[in-house]
Amino acid sequence: MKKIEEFNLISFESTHMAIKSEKLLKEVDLDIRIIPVPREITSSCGLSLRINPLDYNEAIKILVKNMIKFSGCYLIKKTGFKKEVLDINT
Amino acid sequence: MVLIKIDAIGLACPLPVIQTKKALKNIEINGSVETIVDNESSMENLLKMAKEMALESNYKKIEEHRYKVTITKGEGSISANSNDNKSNKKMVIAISSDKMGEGIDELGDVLMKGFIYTLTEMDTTPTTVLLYNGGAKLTVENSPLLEDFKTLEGMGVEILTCGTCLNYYNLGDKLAVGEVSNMYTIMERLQGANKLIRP
Repeated sequence: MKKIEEFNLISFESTHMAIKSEKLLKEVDLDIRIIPVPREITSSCGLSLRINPLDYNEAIKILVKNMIKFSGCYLIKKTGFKKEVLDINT
Repeated sequence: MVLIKIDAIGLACPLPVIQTKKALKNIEINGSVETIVDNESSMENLLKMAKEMALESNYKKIEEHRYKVTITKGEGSISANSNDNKSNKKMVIAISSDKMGEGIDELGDVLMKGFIYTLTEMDTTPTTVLLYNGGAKLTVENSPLLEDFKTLEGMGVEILTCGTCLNYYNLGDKLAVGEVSNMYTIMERLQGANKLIRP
């Protein structure tokens, strides 16, 4: 009976960018939260945004509009404690 | 002799075990917890838990899909407050602020959110998480960390929030996960810890 979750993840080049992004997206009530970058992903500042896939496109739009630099975009599939990371950088 | 009755019919695993464990914790000495469950595997899990805690137990099939498990805590039961049988490996996390570390609040906030989130992802969970002073703000309604604390509770972690602190911050009726605790319990958990973590 393992819990399965799927979510998008964006990693950032700086902590400030991550915190700013959280604020921007919370303001418009998107389903996001700031979490430490999972071990499976190496680069970046150590903070990332976990995003409900339903809100992902909207989030990206807002971040791009606000000229936020991010270092990676991923789709994470979590089964119990195991994570599967799919790099969706384009 | 105290007798606590729990109706766990319709509850999904591991809730019957969690509720029974909680009830057992409330019994100091000499008491029983009687749990009614509707399936055999819940019954077996309860018996297993009793065995792990070195407590006496018995069960009875009352009718189809109704099992009664009685777990008795006699005098001198020692594993009363342990989360499981790892009583010599009690890990306690004491959180005294809603921020992690000292410095700028904005960063401390993010770090604390990350800390609790990461805790839910570890396969070694603490026995108890204590929350006092500013930490008490993390387990109340509208806390961004509520879901994570509920996840931890579901994993069998005891979540104890300082009642004096809730009262001071006017959050007395807002606790949304775990239980209210007092200085005696906090002291007991701190003293009983084999490993104490203070983020």
